[in-house]
Amino acid sequence: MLINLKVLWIFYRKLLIPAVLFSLLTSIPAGINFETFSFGFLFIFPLMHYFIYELRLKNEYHFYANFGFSRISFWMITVAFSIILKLISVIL
Amino acid sequence: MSKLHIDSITKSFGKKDILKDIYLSCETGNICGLLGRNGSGKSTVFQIIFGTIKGDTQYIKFNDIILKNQSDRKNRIAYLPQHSFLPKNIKIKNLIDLFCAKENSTKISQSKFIQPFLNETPNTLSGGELRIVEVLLIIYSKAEFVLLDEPFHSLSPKTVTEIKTIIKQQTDKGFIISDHQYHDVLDISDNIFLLSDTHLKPIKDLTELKRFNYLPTTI
Repeated sequence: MLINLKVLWIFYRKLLIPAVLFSLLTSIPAGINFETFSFGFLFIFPLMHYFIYELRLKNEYHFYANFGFSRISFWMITVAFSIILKLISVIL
Repeated sequence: MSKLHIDSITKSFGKKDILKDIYLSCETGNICGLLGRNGSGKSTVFQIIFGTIKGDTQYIKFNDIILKNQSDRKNRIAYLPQHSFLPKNIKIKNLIDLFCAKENSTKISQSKFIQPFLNETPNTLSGGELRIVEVLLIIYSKAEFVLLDEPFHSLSPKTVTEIKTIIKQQTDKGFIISDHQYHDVLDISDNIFLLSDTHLKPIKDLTELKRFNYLPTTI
């Protein structure tokens, strides 16, 4: 379990910092708040995933596959996380 | 003793058939050598067995368990791809903790190949140094079956000899190895297979490799 979390962190730490920064930047015109941030994050997080792992570091998927994580499973986590964050902002 | 059973693998890209009815079986303690010319489909076979590519048809079984998705392969099959695959900013000692169980973790950390790089990250290593680290991480991983795609490329002859010795010492694991340094593959393999014209053929000796047009007849 701990190894799974470490592997997930290695994968997502490359995405989270740029995704959060770009989401904050895109939310500036409408005023920075959780709702505008999560709206930007909904699109930017999957976009970062695409640019970083599908275009630049495609071969690293083999590293994660050695721990049982497929490319599809990462895409599912990315999309689900973006949607959940947006839903939380709607509920709040 | 564990057994990896691979059967009925077929794969085509568009109209081009790459693999037809591939059958291969490997037990722990066994080393299978996979030879084939460039573009014959060796890496595709590896990736289908490992689960990162789906075959048009495939049947892959570990003991009595049919392996369907990637998580089924976890700690059962490890794969060393041709090109470097490690995340660039993680220290080697942290990668060892992820890949290896405690006993192997100590063994690999004390290895003369790895010890100088324990606090380095993959992006600071040369191509050859990185390849040694990758090969040893996969060999000493928790998986019972290890797929090595070109493990000897970029390695010096002396290092290749030592890696071969390490592979032979892992009697509790099964290996499927492919490399263009065919002498090294022949040297350590119990069974040799040649992937040629979309089919996998068991090979008995060098003359068969010439007959199937893998080796030049002048050798």
